[in-house]
Amino acid sequence: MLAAGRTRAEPDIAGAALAQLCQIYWAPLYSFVRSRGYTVHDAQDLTQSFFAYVLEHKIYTRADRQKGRFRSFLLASIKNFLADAADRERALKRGGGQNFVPLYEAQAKEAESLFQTYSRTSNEDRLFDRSWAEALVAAGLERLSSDYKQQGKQRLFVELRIFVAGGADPLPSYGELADRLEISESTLRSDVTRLRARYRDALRAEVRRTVDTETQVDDELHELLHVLTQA
Amino acid sequence: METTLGPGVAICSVCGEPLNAKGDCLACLLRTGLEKRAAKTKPSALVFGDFEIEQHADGSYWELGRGAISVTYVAADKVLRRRVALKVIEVPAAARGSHAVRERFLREARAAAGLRHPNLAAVFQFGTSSDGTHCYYAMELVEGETLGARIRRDGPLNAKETLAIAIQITRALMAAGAHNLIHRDLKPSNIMLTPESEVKVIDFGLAKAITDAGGEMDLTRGEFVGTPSFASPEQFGTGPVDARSDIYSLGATLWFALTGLAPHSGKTLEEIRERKTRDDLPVAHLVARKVPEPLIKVLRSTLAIDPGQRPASPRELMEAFESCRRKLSRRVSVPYDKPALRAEAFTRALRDAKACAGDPESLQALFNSAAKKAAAVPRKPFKENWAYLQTMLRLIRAYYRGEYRQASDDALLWIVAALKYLVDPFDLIPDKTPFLGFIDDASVVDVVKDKTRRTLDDFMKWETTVQ
Repeated sequence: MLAAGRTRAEPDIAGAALAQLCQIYWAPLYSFVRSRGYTVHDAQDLTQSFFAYVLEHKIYTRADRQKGRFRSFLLASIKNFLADAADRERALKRGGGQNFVPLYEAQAKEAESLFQTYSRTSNEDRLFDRSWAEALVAAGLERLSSDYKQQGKQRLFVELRIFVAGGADPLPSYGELADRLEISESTLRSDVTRLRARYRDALRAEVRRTVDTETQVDDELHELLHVLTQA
Repeated sequence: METTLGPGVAICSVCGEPLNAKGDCLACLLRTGLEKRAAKTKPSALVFGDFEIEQHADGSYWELGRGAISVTYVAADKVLRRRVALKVIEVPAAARGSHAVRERFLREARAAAGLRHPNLAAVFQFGTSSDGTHCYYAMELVEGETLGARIRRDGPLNAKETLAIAIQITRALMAAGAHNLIHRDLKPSNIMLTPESEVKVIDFGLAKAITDAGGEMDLTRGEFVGTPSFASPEQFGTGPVDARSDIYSLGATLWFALTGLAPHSGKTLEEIRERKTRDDLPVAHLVARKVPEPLIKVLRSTLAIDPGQRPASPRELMEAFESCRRKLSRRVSVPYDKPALRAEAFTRALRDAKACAGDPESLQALFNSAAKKAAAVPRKPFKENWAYLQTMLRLIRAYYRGEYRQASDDALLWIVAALKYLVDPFDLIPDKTPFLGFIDDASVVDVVKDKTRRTLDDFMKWETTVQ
């Protein structure tokens, strides 16, 4: 089920990979805790404590692979965690204070802003899924952006990003954009195709870390898309 | 739709779904992940003349670099079955029908293709696509990295490393000078460093061809060709440019190698031009990097605003660099007590000769230079090897005069390398300088004799017959 938790022979590596995943998906968990009525600080502490609990007790190794996705697993686990009054109280008393997953101010602010944006219109499960989708595409875009940056093609990425991420403005015409970038239209077209293909691969690689098979990657993406667009 | 975020919410122009706080469309981003795999729709082969651009496993074309109007790819020469670096230049729509643009490109490329030298990446072939949209030329694919990339990765070089590079680039300039060619865009990204520490200048003589193909500039009207930070002041003006312009660019490139910075930089063409025409070289940068005074002096002379104040030719510049290297190394011959150093010097001489294999002109130039120095060597220091030295000289002279052609290519290379080594082991002596140092290196003569024994014997028999 979970690539990070699968490698029992290499617990440190597996732990590190899991910690990285937890970092990426911190915001969805935080949104979920906030939607249960906890204050900003309590939600932060509880989210930190939850990840500490996951990593410390290696509960991912107990998860049944056949049961599916890391997303569902975390959602079920946080529900259990919050339901367990003793865990919750202990976490709050300790003031979180867990360093398994470092918490950055910007990250916390962004998670809170995400919660504020969607909390009025979504129930707690849907809020969690929407935040999860946000975290997923952000990780995919980040991976892609750093690839382009490494190749010294940051400007190209910024200019072509709209062909992957959409936006309020209409897509620029290839002719205009090619002129602006001082490249030919045919080069631009192949650059766009390549960017979309690379983003697709980056996003799928990100999802693949949380599921077992390529088919499950498709299922996961369909499900998240359904959550976002359902009537 | 589930989300009703109020009247102010932005909608994606592509799919109509609400955008997130960052202005991105999550739905579009997720849908892209569900698109069919790109590899299944591998782009079609990109072919220019005899050359097919190579592709990565994901189907993307194998790019080596990208300029304003050109892209350099790794390509396969389908006829000769070798890999080349293929520079493809996009001809702007307005210039595509122009016969003059095409002819100008071909004329320039033809001139560049005539150049052959170990320190120049050879141009094999050039052409234009049948629809007139692209011009291209195939160059020797040089393994290694550019000087610019090296500096970005490892930081500035020291004086010794820089001088070694400078001398090799100057050799390339000398060879090009013999064909009345100038580079016009000498800069760190046009200097390749191979893993064997050889230097190869790329795009020699092609800056003008590239801009000609671009149809935007015409040097006869004195418009700008080059890269501003490394261009000479006269390249910004309307007057003619000559080899001294390349000398300026080489100075700026070496400055960059020593400091990691161009001597004059700026945000606009105007700003750079203005700085270049003020006499305020930031020499403190060199001093801070502990660059020795003799080298600073040479660099200052190359970067003089007035071309008349710079070394007049690449040969004069070479003399300045060599004098500088002598001052820094204070050593003009290979010590007897350091066999490793001697072996290394001979290996270098052999490598230089081998680099000219298949290019009779370069090999002859190498021989001429060695022969000229050998002519100035007195007999006495050579003792018993003098006779062999003279035999080797006579053989090659007869070969180039066309009187005697029985020597194999391999034997010729070994003899030229031996001559080059014996008369100037460190390759320090300019042609006009009196002989400064020598060795009568029996070990090298023995190795060369061993390699070329039959050739020398046959030659001596032929000489006897002729006489």
